Amino acid sequence: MKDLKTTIGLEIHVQLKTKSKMFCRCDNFAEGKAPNTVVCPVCLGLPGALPVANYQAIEWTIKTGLALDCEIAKVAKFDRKHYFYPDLPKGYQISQYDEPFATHGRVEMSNYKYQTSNSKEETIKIRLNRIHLEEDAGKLIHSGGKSLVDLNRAGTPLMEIVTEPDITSPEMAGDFLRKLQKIVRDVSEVSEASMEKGHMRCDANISLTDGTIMSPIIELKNLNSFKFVEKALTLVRAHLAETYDSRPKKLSKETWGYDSVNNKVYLQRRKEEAADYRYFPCPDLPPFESSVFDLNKLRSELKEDVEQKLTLLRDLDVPGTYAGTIALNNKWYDSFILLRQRIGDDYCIDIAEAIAQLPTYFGDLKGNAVGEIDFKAEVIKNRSTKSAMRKIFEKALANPEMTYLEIKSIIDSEMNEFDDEKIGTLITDIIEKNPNELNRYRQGEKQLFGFFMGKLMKETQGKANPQKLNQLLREKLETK
Amino acid sequence: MNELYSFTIKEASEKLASGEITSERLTEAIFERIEEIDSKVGAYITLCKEKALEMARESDLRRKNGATLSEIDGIPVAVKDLFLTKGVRTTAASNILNDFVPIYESTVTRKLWEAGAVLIGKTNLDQFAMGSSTETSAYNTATDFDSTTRNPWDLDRIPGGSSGGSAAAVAADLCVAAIGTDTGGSIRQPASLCSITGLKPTYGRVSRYGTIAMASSLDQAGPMTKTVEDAAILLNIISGYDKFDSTSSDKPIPNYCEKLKVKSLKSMRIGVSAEFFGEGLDSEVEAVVRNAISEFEKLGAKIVPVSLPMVHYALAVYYILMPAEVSSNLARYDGIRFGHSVLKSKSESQMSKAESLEDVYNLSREEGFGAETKRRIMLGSYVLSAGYYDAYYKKAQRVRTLIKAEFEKIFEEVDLLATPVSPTLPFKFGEKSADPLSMYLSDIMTVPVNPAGLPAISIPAGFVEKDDKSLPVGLQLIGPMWSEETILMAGHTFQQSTDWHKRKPEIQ
Repeated sequence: MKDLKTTIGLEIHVQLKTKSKMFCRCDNFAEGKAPNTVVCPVCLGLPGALPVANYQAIEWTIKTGLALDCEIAKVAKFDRKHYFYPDLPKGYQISQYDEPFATHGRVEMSNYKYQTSNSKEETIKIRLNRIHLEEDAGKLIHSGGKSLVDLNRAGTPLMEIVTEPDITSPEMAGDFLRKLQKIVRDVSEVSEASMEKGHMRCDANISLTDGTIMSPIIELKNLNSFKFVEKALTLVRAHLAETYDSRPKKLSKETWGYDSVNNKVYLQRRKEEAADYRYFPCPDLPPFESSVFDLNKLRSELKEDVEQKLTLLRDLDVPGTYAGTIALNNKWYDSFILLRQRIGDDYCIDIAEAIAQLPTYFGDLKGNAVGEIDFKAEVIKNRSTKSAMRKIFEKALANPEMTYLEIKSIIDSEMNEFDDEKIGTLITDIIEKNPNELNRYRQGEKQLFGFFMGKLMKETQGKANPQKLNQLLREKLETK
Repeated sequence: MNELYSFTIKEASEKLASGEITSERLTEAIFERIEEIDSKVGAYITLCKEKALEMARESDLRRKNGATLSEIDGIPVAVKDLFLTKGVRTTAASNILNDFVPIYESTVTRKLWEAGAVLIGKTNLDQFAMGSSTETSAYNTATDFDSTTRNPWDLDRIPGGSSGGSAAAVAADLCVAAIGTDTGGSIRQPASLCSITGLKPTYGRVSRYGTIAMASSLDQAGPMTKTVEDAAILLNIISGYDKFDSTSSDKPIPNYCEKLKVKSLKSMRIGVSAEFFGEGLDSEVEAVVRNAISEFEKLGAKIVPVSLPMVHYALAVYYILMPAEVSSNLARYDGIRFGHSVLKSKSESQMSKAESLEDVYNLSREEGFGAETKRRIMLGSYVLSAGYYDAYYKKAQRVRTLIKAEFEKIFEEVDLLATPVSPTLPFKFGEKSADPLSMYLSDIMTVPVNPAGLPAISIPAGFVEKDDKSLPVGLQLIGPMWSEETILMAGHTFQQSTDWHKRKPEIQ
């Protein structure tokens, strides 16, 4: 057999789990409901009914586009795609033709499995042609020689992701789909993206070439599991290779089906010519400008972005457990940045602790007045202990008119139970009881400062100002 | 006192308010009139007498309790049979919707009923609003003269179309006011030919939800009334943003009756464009229109000659874009879920022909649609086909943009444009129905407005005596987007100093 190169392109349909359908307010969770009970004039295609686009579905599609490195269209539009079929109520599907929401994306995968003589790169790139949004059709149920129509599913939002023909083997197709599924799942909420339940459906196109002549293109439709995609493509590839020499060499296209029970592929139809869908812009839906969305905000909600946030927090020495929770929570992260802008990088750990431990006070600052944010920043800067901070807030909440300084002076007066002399005595006591540690500290093990500080905090039971404790302890330890 | 049935909205609402009449009495008077003469006029496809009387009695009860809903509470109106009315058969004058009883209400009619209006019945139209004479209707009208709607001014002549039933009903006092739709002149042209007032609002002013779509980017519903003042009253009721129509506008709605009080055309500039007075315009029609324009001059307006060369392309653009949208909008009538299906055909031989799914589609649509509807579906499918799309549809869209831009530029110079509405007098039955092209040309004055989305009104401007009959001629006032107030004010002022709109046909 000749050395034949395999070319595969995929079209993936992802059902979006929005609350309502794509163009009407019907419940989008119709699975398992009695036929034709989750329908309205719009998804039934009754005369006079008009579509109204679901913004949530558009937002998720744009978000997926961002996660897949796509260009987001400034202006996108919906088009009508015409064909007659009983599960298509209007005689056309509202889809997107030449101005989809996202184009030119890519998915990068590790290349270790597929390295060939001419590709030694560590990663391979599968380019994405486009991501568009459309409405699903209904379902036909064939029984007793009759065909029945159930339109519950009609109007479910479908996001279609189309790759370039960059996939070179059935295994690579499977790996790509698994990677894509993960990304789509990570774009929180978008879809359950489970292929087995039909939430993700896949059409695959495959052809072989020896470099000069091309085999027919075979399209496999409605594959609903990763395994089936790999198996069906493997079978079709074998068929194309076997018949490569005997086939007439004019460009043709065939549609094949896959029988998963017997693991067999079979010819469904030969396409004489491309169907003419008579696409034109849907006059019921004005063109859509992506500027209505804050793309930066959408981008900030992506997983990739979470990783960037995590890196920043770690660079600022925020301990791992705090960094993780703050990076994952947009409100906490925004609050962290706001506080950091006010009191600087020296207090990042204190800020993180404050947010993680007292999220009701520090975790949602964006809507706060400037004065309030300043106040909270000051509290962190002069932080004593968690219980003291809580006290300050309780005072502040009870006396909304009081300024930060007024409240702080009350707190300070309550804390004078431990004056400098008392603290001095406590420190001397601690040092005397731990001569070994003192020695090591003085010989350079400066991290033992924490050891002494811990003891001191325990003695004062959080009732003394830690800054003062810090200052006095350092003085005592350094003066020999 | 005038006969009850001849009242305008304004007159009737005053008499209802003063307690001089009741809505029930008014509604009865309208039905007496319908029983007397609709067998000659044939305005209605479906009459709703029981429902109407019930609605009227409810209105009277509200009034008694001091809970009157609006100025049109208790006013009997006629609705073009293109608006979905829940529980009342809606046909679009097509066999394919022969037995179609809607399960929901159109936004326009919902607003009417919420304002207390009384539904007299559904009026005849050209099939799916495709036509200019109401001759393409598939229906025997409710009172069954010989299945067609006639012009009350001369029963041998067409009433115009497509809203011919609504226009004839208003002109013959078979309702107090009516609602129509206008895609290329379907409100204005029959209004002109029947000597009533018809307003096509700015695209997006009135919701299209629940109105059977002909060409979605052009369709707009509007009032058809006895006076400009009544048109303003109805427009107040039916306008506004609708969350079910993404193309409806959320622009605030002024009180359209308020500016009618101005009554001065001083400082108003009215443009007259030579392009609307060229070849094809009947000299008798032109004389009436020019006379009406000089009346505006007498009222203080400044007449400014302007030029609109792009208007020449409007009809060509319209007859590409409109059929394209028609071919798409009518795809849903497939005999599967509602409306006529060959599987329910009265003819057994037809039914037996349907062996495959494709047969069901083809035969249902063949039986259901009329000739003009099929013609437009074919034209539209052709211009959208692969290989032809760029040459026809795309190019037409570009020219549409140019037409819009040209109007915008002209409206920097003038406030309104005054033009004829129909290039001819109402023609006789069959005169143009065999020649689609000459029928299409009867829209040449009204069509340019729709691709540009502009508001325009037709008001009675005079008569031409012919065959012992007085045949009406209308005048069109076109304004920039959202200029309904100015258009209505100018039209109202004209009607204060003329009485063309007060003349009534003698129906023989």
